[in-house]
Amino acid sequence: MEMFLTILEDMIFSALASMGFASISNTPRSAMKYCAITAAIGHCLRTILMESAGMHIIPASTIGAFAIALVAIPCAQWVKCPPESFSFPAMLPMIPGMYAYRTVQGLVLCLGANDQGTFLHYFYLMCYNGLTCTLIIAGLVVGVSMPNFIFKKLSFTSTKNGPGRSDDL
Amino acid sequence: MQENKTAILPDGGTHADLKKKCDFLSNYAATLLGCGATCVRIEKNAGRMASVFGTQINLTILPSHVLVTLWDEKHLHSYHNMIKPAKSVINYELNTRLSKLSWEVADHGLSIDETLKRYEKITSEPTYNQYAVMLMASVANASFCRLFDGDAVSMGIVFAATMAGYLIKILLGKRHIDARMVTFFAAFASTLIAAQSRNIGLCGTPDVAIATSILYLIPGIPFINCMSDLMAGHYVSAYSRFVHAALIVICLSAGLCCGMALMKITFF
Repeated sequence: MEMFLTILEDMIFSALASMGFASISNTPRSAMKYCAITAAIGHCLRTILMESAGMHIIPASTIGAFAIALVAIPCAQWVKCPPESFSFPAMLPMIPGMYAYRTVQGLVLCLGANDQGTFLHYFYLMCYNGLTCTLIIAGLVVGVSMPNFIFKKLSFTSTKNGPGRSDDL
Repeated sequence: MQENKTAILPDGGTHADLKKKCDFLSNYAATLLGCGATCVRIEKNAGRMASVFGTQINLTILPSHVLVTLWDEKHLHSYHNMIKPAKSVINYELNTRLSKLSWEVADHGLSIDETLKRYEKITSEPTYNQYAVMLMASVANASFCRLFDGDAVSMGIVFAATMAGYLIKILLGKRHIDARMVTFFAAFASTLIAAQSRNIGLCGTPDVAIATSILYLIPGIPFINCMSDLMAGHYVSAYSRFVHAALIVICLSAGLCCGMALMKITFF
């Protein structure tokens, strides 16, 4: 029951977060609900994989992004939008913002270190956070792009009215 | 040489037509680039319309320029244009409508004049109200705080910090101040407000409040576009997007560090 409530809460807040961030990117109004749905699915899947299966944040984020893109492709056909117009904002709650600025903080503190031990400690934090941040973003993009490559025709014909053509780019 | 001159000059119609199409396609590509479309989408949309116009397009997408060479159907005449995209923000509504336009051209064989008319209409439409976006971004950031296990008081503080930071972003943006400076000041203001969570006894997670108060400034879409371009082989564009996003992160981190230093809060 507790796990169920945690997941439900995770879905609600990730949906709210994605809709807010989507509004910054001027996502079409008609795509907002799909943005919330895909974000909720992707983020809760990541949480389940991390909390229940003990998976590391990098593969969990990749799988979460893959799920977002899988759901986004049929949604894009219904709403007649490019899938990335709501699948990218839906991934924003998974963007490792904390890791990104901790990397820069690590760099700043490295420069201010007075002895080798302190320097190495902050250098380690900078490298750890930077590497994690880069690999999470890379994992997110690989995850979100894979369905686009598999269903290439559907991805690039979503803004077309009517069925796609066999020679579509 | 003489033969070429006589081939082009009497055929002013073809040349003017090619020029008009090249101008449109270069503007179209630059607008898409400015509104945050990936390079693959720009190439596909522009190529789709160029083939309907009876032309062949060669498109080069550079960090701050788009180069278009348009050949006529028989590959006898070409027109070249280099254009700098206007500074704009990520706009998926524009991206969607411009993508739809490319399909309208492909499916209904729209003329260049009709296409231009529709393009002008699409690009002149207003975006969301900035203050409504500010409110939504604040709710989003407060939700983000909850996702990082922040309590209700922290969420309230993050909401207020985001409102203040976003307001500064809007006001400085209206004065055409550099986006990186705007990011610095917005992060600084948000950190100062979020740092008050340490002074409020009811707040159980002040560190989460401070750390999440600036997450609305993280350039998530440029980071994703960067990786997307990298996978598609657009290395120059990917590198440019990465540098842009990294500079924004550096500026917001600098704003955060200055705010924390002023409030005498230690890092990590």
